[in-house]
Amino acid sequence: MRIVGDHLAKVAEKSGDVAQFDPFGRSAFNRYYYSAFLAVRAALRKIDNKWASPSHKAVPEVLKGDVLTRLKHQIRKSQSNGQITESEGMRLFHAAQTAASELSNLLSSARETRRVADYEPEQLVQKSGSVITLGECSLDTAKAWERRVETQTKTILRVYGDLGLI
Amino acid sequence: METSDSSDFTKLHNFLREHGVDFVSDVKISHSAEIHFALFVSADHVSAKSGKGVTSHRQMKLLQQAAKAETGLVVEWIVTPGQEAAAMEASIQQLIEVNHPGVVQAVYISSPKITPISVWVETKTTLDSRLQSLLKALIKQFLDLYGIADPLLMFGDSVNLPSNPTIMRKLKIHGPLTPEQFVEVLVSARLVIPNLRWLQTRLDAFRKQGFVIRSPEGKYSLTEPGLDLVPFGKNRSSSDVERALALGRRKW
Repeated sequence: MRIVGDHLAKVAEKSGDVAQFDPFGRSAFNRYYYSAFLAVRAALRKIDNKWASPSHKAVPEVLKGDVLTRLKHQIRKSQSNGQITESEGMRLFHAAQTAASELSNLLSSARETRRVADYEPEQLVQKSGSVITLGECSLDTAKAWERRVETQTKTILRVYGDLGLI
Repeated sequence: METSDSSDFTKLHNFLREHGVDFVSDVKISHSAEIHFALFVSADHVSAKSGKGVTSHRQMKLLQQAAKAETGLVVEWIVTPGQEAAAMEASIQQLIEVNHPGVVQAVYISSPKITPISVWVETKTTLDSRLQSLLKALIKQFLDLYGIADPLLMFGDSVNLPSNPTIMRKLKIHGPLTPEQFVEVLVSARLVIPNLRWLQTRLDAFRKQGFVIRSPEGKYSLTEPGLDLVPFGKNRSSSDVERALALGRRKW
């Protein structure tokens, strides 16, 4: 998905004509959103198959809800049987909680940008020098979504691993 | 004639005013069937505690519930990226680039208003522990200038020592194992084992606690109380399923 986004972004960046950079730019935003969404979905699938096909709207809630609830439960269990210390448990939970919260924010705002790209053609992509934006989101920010998501999902998977859950 | 959208918008506007909400940057009618409005707030205005001009995740959740109860409107919050975090990320990356050129690919930080903050550092190559310590010191020094203490620093490529639950899970899946075989299993899972003695000490500690047993041939397995400690479930990543698959792959 990201390489398609990169290609579309390149076409948009090269063009000075709004009739060109607007459709290519908005399609690039769309592809970048999907690459981020699929990266999160792949991580959720590693934890539990039942989270393998969540709806776009549900993912931010699953991240902040079920994913953390399961961790909290296991941390309590591991603390009570002496497998991890109190402070280890706190550190693990905090690491996962921050990552989940950041991921959730990123996905919901990226989804909104994707919605504008797909359904609000009257809101044009703007180009100022080499900077392309749609609403408040720049194409450079969108390009980094997938990498950012991969970094933060790694943290959640690591915490699950440290607790013996995966 | 007043449309339903505009009367809902008025209801929402009144609701936000009555609740003293002063941090919403934009309100949009949602195109989703289940949600009426999307409320935008910049991450710069999300803090650990709510106050003037700032909100918290807890307050956002409570307002969402109150909006539903008082007006019948379903709202969703969209937290847009904050300028503050973006500026800090760029500065940290620049600082590292100046001091250790070509090492770092990207730096991400969580909202600086919610402490302790997390910093993720993606590196171009695997860092040795000396360079990792230098980067940690540099980042801590930088954040100190902003009054941010005790950040949680995470290096994307770093490999970890296995935790106690990880050791127990791997032993459940692959046991019985000699310490030498166990090291191979852990290393192939991208975990770091300082030396064989380190692992033996851990296994002996579990043995004394009654979670692990050693056979006369020197192979370690989990005991029943040990098995009880390992999480399990019905999904593909369950330790039971992985154990069954590992047994299937084993050469007898």
